[in-house]
Amino acid sequence: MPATVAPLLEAIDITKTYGSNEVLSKVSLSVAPGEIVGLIGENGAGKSTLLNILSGVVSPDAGKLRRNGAPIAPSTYREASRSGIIRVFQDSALIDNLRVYENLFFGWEHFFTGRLGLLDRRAMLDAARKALDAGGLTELAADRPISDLAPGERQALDIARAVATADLLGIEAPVILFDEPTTALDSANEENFLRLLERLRGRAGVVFVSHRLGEVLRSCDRIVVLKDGKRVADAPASGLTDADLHRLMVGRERTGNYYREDRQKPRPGPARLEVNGIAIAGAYEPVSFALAPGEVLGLAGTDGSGKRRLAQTIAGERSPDRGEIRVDGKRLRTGVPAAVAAGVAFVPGERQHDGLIVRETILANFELPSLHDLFSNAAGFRLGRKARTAAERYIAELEISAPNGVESRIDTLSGGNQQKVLLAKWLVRDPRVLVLENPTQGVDTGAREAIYRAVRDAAARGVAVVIVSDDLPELIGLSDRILILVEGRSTRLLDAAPGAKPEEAAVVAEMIPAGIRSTPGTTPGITHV
Amino acid sequence: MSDQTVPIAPLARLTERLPFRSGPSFVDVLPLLVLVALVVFFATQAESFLGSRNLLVMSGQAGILLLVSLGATLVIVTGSIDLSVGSIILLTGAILSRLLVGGVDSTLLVILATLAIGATAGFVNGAIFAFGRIPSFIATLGALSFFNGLGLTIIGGRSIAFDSPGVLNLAIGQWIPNVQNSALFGLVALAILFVFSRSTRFGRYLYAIGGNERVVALSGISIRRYKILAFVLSGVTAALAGLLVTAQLSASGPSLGSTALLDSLAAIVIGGTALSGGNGGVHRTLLGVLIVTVLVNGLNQLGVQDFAQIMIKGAVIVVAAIFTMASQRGLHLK
Repeated sequence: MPATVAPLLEAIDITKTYGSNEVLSKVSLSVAPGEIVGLIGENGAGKSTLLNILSGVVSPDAGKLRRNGAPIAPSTYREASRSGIIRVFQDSALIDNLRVYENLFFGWEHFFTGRLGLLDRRAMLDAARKALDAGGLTELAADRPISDLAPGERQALDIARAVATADLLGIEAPVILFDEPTTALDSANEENFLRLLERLRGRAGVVFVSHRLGEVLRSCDRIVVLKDGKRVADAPASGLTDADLHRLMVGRERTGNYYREDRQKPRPGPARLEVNGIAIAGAYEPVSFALAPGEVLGLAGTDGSGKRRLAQTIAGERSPDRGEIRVDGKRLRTGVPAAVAAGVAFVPGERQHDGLIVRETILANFELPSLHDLFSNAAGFRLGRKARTAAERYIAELEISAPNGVESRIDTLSGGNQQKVLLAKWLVRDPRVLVLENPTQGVDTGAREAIYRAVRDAAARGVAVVIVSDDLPELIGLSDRILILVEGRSTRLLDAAPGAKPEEAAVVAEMIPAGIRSTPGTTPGITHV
Repeated sequence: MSDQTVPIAPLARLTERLPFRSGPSFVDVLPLLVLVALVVFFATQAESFLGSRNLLVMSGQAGILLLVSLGATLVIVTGSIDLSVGSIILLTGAILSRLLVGGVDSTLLVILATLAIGATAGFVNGAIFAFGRIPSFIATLGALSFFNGLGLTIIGGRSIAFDSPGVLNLAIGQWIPNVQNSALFGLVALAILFVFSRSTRFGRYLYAIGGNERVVALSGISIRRYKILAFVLSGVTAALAGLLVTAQLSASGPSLGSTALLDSLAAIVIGGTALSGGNGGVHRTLLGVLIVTVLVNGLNQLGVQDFAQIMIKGAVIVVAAIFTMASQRGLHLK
């Protein structure tokens, strides 16, 4: 772009300190018209704080913001919105019990007041129609309730809303800030999001925070890397590679094989986990497979393919309508307590909702599933010292960084460290079957390595592992075999032996329902079930 | 005087070892400061306040309020609420007075009957809540009305007096000199439930359920079982309070337990256990009970009207809740 055009948004030498902790140190960032800027860094590098400052949620201690060359100092999110800096939050900010059009204009209803100060519903619906069409949501009815939208539609709506807000306010070139928009999306929806992002390029500037280095490289023009509150790189995406970004973020080279495929070897022996024709009506059709000790099975599919339900069934959270699950030959009774007793461990995807009590300490979370056996005596008295020693061992083993040791509250830890605690609370039970749902979602690169190592360690001890992950490179990298589910049917079982891994594109092609698929998956190395 | 300060000293040590916090925060010590301020205020305003007779009366009042608040605290720790504690007191008093008038005169039998009434009422509450899958607020609101109606039916809506020295002694006797037995019962129950909630797996489950029920369920723990357990404990401590109140009066009557719900909720909230569940505990409730007792007793000593007292109590609850919530938000943001 020509140097004469002022950047849409400029942050200059932003500094922010919490207590004695300098979260941002003289960080600068600029967004030119039509530019997509990737903002990456490990958890705690300062990405969220920078977004908070850009969007008026937090005020900087020092530094300046400029919008189209003019200084601004938004002190609230609304003020930032008015100047055309609009944020799409990490957890969709849509309100479930309102309709599409109500959500689109939420907070800006006064643009639609008619006579007597009442809302002009017709005008809102008309404007909503235009906004939806512009955002590529031509199929979506403006008066539909939000609660029945699919994740991909919600995301598209979040983006349409950001653009609609700018339109309402008469802002020609808004800056849209995305906070890890693809974290909760599966691969198909992720593609969809990247297409939407491309559409924005024509009229907005974008700041895009993500943990997924591949998509940042693909979709961004320029990449800004933060490390420990400092900007360590600001460079065109075209000259950078995955490995460069990793090195910049972590501060060291990515060592050897990321997913430790060299350690991938299931041990022969009688099946550790047998799934025999289980099915849940409306979720997935009968599926069967068997895992040897140490074998890792990946479940792949789009949202709604039934892969999550299948994983949850193995974990005992859902009861199958038919079929049976066996662990070491013994039939599993239904319910989580029975599954836990049989040695099944479940690391759910929503770690803050389903995995950990965030207001409790590491110790309280760590000991919870084992209070009835490992960490209490026959009378029910808690064996505090034993639990503490075990927790401390896992803190060291998994390299959990916690300011107050086992007494640290979960909500003071980074996402990666939280995930490690969640893993530890199950590993201490020495499980036979480990079910993992998105084990590295929202987890930085350094912590990922430790988690992959822990999964390989478990497999080496003979644990059968079932992984559901929306991060396909991870799923392919970790798995021995990959079971593909399409609309509840298990269609393929791909071999993913080390050195003979299927390509990501081939797996995606398998995941897409037949009616939509343009070219049939004919990749070598794929066998029918 | 020393009797009153005895429970406070160990408490300071206890607050340093709160189950889920690393050190005492402002909100941990605030109730203690309020208590000291109230004691000083009333001592200077009413000469009789620190008189040995009044201290003895207060220890009895505090013991009974402590009992009814203890189980209710555990229910609140799980993130639920038990609105039926006052009605369980009435029901217990009604049944016991009928038994005593009807010729039963064994103190042991009376205690066993109390435990049975409390456990049954609590189990009913817990089972309706856990199996009916309705909010505890609604379940125990219904139970409140039902138990009240049942109690009033049993006594025919009027007072029933009995004469049982053994039972009277349970409440106002002094097995330990200068401490009413009611206070002793309260402190023993506090000690048991404190150890229970801190050092047994059952107690830990109650906190975990209040912290995040879903996480507990996905950890392979039967949530229903422990929710019901909390309500059973609440029923039992409420029934024990009912026994002591009835014994103290040597009579039951339609207004029995009518202030227990408000007073116990006040004590719990003032002590610093949040209604959202997952934190606080019985040790905090002790402080709340002492504050409420001192406040009520002191206002009586000053001759403040009953109705004005009710207003003051309401205001104190709201202020205490504001402090508790503010401190939690503060902790959450850190």
